[in-house]
Formats: sequence, C-alpha cells, structure tokens
Amino acid sequence: MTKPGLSPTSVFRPKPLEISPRLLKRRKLGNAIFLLCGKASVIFSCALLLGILGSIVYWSIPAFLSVELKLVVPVSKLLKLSPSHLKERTFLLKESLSTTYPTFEDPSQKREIQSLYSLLAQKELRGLFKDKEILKESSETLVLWIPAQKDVAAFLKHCQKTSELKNSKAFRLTEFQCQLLEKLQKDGGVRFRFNWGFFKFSDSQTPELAGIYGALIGSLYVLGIALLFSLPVGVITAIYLEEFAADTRLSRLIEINLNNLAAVPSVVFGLLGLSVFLNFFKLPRSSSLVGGLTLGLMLLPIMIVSSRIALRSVPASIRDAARGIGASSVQVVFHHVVPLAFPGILTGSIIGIARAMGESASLLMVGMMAFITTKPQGILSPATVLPVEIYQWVERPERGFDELSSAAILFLLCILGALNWSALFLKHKFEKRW
Amino acid sequence: MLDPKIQVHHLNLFYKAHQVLHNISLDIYRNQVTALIGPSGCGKSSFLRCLNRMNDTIEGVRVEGSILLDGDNIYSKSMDVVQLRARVGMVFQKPNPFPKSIYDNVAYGPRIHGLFQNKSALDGIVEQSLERAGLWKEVKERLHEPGTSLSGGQQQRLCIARAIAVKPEVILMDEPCSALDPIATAKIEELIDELRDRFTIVIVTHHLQQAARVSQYVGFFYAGALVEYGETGDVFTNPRDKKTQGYLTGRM
Repeated sequence: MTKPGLSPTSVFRPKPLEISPRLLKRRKLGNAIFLLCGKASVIFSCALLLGILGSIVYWSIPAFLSVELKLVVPVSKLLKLSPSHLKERTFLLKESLSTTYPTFEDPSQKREIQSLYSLLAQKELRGLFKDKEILKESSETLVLWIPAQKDVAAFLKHCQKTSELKNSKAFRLTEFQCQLLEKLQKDGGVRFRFNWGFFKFSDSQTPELAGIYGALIGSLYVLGIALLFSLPVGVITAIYLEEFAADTRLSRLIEINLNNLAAVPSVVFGLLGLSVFLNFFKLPRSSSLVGGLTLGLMLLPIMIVSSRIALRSVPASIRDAARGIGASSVQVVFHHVVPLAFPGILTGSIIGIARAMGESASLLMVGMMAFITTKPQGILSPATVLPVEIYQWVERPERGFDELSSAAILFLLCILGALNWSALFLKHKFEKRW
Repeated sequence: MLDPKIQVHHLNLFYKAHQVLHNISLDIYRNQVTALIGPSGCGKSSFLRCLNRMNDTIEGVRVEGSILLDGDNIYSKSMDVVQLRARVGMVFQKPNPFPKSIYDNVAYGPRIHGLFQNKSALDGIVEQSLERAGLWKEVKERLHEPGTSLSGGQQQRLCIARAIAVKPEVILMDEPCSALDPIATAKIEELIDELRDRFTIVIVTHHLQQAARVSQYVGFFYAGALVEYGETGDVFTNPRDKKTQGYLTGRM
C-alpha cells in the first residue's frame, strides 16, 4: 500500500489499476482450459492418424514378404531325355518334384506336393530349359526358389505368429501338407524374401503373383492426360478471369459457379465423363484417355481456383510499378504477375495432382476397372489405376489380397506424402519476397 | 519562360456515383516542380493519377474535362495509354522495385519500349539513370543483386532511376518520401531539385516543409476542389484563401 503523503513531491500519481482477484483467477482458468482443450484435440487427432497409419503398416507387412519353396531341378537327367518329353506341360515340374522329395511315391501325395507351388513354377522351368547351352555347363542339379501357393504362403507367414492357427483347415491345406511344410521349414526348404513382385507384377487371380505395376503405370497415364488437359486450360482461364475480365455480373456468376464446381462430388464428374466421352464421343471404355479426361474435368475448377488465389496474392504495387513505366496489361501480367504467382500455381497444381492420384469414384463410373495382367498398352487400351486396384483387391475373397490392398494403400500414401512435401518444398524454394 | 507542359481544363472525376474531383483547372509548367498539398482524402492523389491515366484500371472511374500534354488531349481516343505512361512516368508512395536485379529493374522500361540498339547502349542507359538518381556509386558493384535487398531510401531512388530510364517528359511522385527516414528524405529532395532541369515534376506531399523546399508552384486541394494555386513563395507567405491559411498553420 502506498501512502500519498510519503511522496516527496506532490505530483499526481494515478492509483495502480486493481483487478479483482476473482476476475483474474477466472481469466487464468479460461486460458488454461482453452490451452488444455487445444492440446487434447491435437493429441486426439494425431493418435487417430497414427492409429490408422500403424494398422495399415501392420497389415501390409506380410504383403512385402514373399514365401519361396526350394525346388531341385535334375538338370543333367532332364537334358538326356528326348525333346518330346519336354513338350508335356507338367513333365519338368513332376521330374523336379520327384528329385526334391524322393521319399514320397504315392500319386495323391505327389499331387498335394505339386499344389504347394505357385503356377509360376512351370513357367520358370520352361524358361530355364529354353536355353540348353547354358544348362549344359552347370552342375548335375540346380536349385530354384519358387513362390509358394497363396494358402501355403499364408500358412507359413502366420503360423509363426499364432500357434493355435496351425490348424490345417483354417488354411485349406491337408494334414499331410502342413506336416510337410513344417518339416521343410526345419530343413531349410523354405525362405522368406522381400516381395519385389509387388512392384514388378500387374494384377493377377492369385495374390502371390499380383502387384501394383500395371495400376501404377495406368495411374501415370491417367494423371498425365488429366494434367495435359487441365493445367493449360486452368491457368489461362485463371489469368484471364483474374487479370483481364471486367468485374461484371457475368464474371461474378462464373466465379461462383467455379467455386461450386470445385466442391462437386467426383462421382458427378464420372457421370459427366460417362455421358460425354463414352456415350457421345464413343471413346473406348476403361481407357486411360477417358479416365484422364474425366479427371481433367474434375481438376479444372480446382486448378482455376488455386491459380486465381496465387495471382491475387501478387501485390498491387508490382502491377502499378510496371504499368507506371508504360507496360501494357499483357506485359504486366506475363512479365511480372505470372512469374511471381508461379510458385503458388505450381503448389496448387501439385495438390490437385495428389487429389487426382487418390481419385476412384469418378474413374469407376467410366469403367477404369479392367482386369489386366500387364501394363496398359497405350492410352486407348484398357487400364486400371491404383485406388481402383485397391478397391478391387479389398473386394476379393481370396486370402492374401487383404495384405496386398494394405500394401497398396501404404504405397499410395507414400506417393501422396511425397507430392505434398514437394509442393511445400518448391513453394519455399521459388517464393520471392517483396 | 513559363511554358505550360500540362493544361488541365474543367476536370471532373467520378468514382461510380461519387464525385471525387470538382472542376479542376490548372497549368503545370515545364521544368518546374509543382507540389500538391491538402488533407488526406482531398483528391490530390486521384488528381495525380489522372495525369497519366492510372485511374483507368480502376473499375467505375469516369473522367470529364480535358488534360492537354503539349497540347494533345490525353483522354482522346487517339492517345495510346502505354505511350502516355512512357512520357509521364510515376514514382509511388511505397518503394516498389520489381523482385529482380537492380540492373533489370532499370533496364525493364527501355527493354519493353525498345529504346536501345545493343547491350552496351542498354548498359549506358542503366548507368546514366542510376547516376542521375544518385544511386550509381552505391550499387555499381552489385548491379545483379535483387533490387529488394536495398534499403528503403535506396529502393525509392532505384524506382526513380527506373522511371527516368525511359526518358519521360513528366515525372509524377505520389508522396515519395512518406515511407522514408529523414536522411533518405533529404537525399530524395535534393534529387528532385537536380531532376528539374530535364523533367517536369509533379509531387503530392503531406509534408508542408517539403513542399516549400522542393517546389516552385503549389496547389492546395480541399474536398476534391483546387482551392489555391500559385507560386510556392506566394502561397506559403501570403495565402489568399481562409482554408489554405488554416491548413498551413495547422488550424482547420
């Protein structure tokens, strides 16, 4: 407490502002509650995201492992035989199996053993015997590692984790097959490798031979066409509307409609693509061209809106400066405004690409769900894209496709992350300050 | 001797339904500095922007009356706006160099108007303009650094160099020192005085002493009208209008 009388001069000293302690306490409490809520919601959303990501990673791990079984090929013995034997479809495989498993004579057992191997076995053996000259130099027998059939792969991948699953029926294997596999695992007849096939193969009926390669190439085709169509049209439209068009009722109507279009659900664009490109122009169904044009339609309003925002962020002082020394409107725009807005336009486009990359609904409408076991042959031939491939894999009942779809989701997420990160990076790199 | 460069006759400026300038008539004399003063919002900047038709780009602006530059009406259909702005340059309130190199800032105008034959001629124009703007000594070693890396006062002199590189006849300055410190301001004022022998200068300022220091003629605007116009010495020492008197003494 200050006593006025004690001051040496009689200068006016205002009484210090006194806020009631209760009000102060309430204020502090309010702050604390808000900060706590903020932190809690950040933690909540992070936990959700991490949970989703974690479960996807967890489910996708088996898809990145391929199970391979040993196959001993009796090269010298097979070479001595006449070529007519080699023409028989399963002859090579049968001979190799008898060499690998000499103790099993019973034909039914032999059949069960053969069904442990994937269909790739015959193909690889035939490929091996195409060039006999190389084989002649090799030793008496040759060891091949063949991907296991899907149920076998599932059995071997999961029986290590949960012992109670060792029940053969859960994996659609016979008692004999299970026992044989366990024995093989002890003797080193089984190995686990990174599943390069996931990136090399296209779609397939069997999960052990299915990969994302075809869908990835399809996605690239579709995105390329979509960008080729929407980027130039979008940027030119944005420049015209933002820099040259007079502010009339018509231009305002166009602006409102563009903003609306950017928020229209993608299925609607799919329907538009269906009726325009397939029914009217009679373009081939499920081709990359139709998919790309449909996505281009979807991207167009997004590109226009984001480019306009980028153009609008260029300060008026730069336009004034250029105009003030006699630059024409086109010179002002192309010498100054567009170069300065370029990083923003680029970022907007990349975010648009990321959106198109994950788009499936509109592409399903134009039939981009072809079952193709190779990469698309051209922009007019049937193709599929990554998100649609995921959608199809999730639907399939066979064991193994669930893992594959998780792995494909993970891959798609990585690409999207890379795209968004590069958008941020480029923005920081090219952005000019004034 | 006193030869009018720009003659303004009965100029009215409307922004949509609102009239910004009321019946302005004045002569701006060749190779003189004319200062326009008045309280904020009195229309002096709008008037300045009429002189090189910078208002054209604002939607809803309408101009009545005539402005003659060397006897040609700048609002006539035959007048090319781009060429007009090359003849009547402008320096803005806030220094606004392009985010390009110092060299490219000055060279931009000559480049778009094709004012040079070869690279060395352009180099000459750049050097001469920077020299005239009193900036050459400070920047000759770093012509290829961004113009935005200079200090505020240097940036404003760069903008002046950029404006004079296209060899305009008139330079309009819209409060060129309002964003600068006193030392940078003094340099610009000195520069304005030096530029007078080649250019006709019109300057809008809030700073009465500045108007008194740099100008030979002064016009006082109030509420969209030109209240008083005459030689600077006369207006400052012997204002005829009550409003001018009040404004000059700070009692409005």
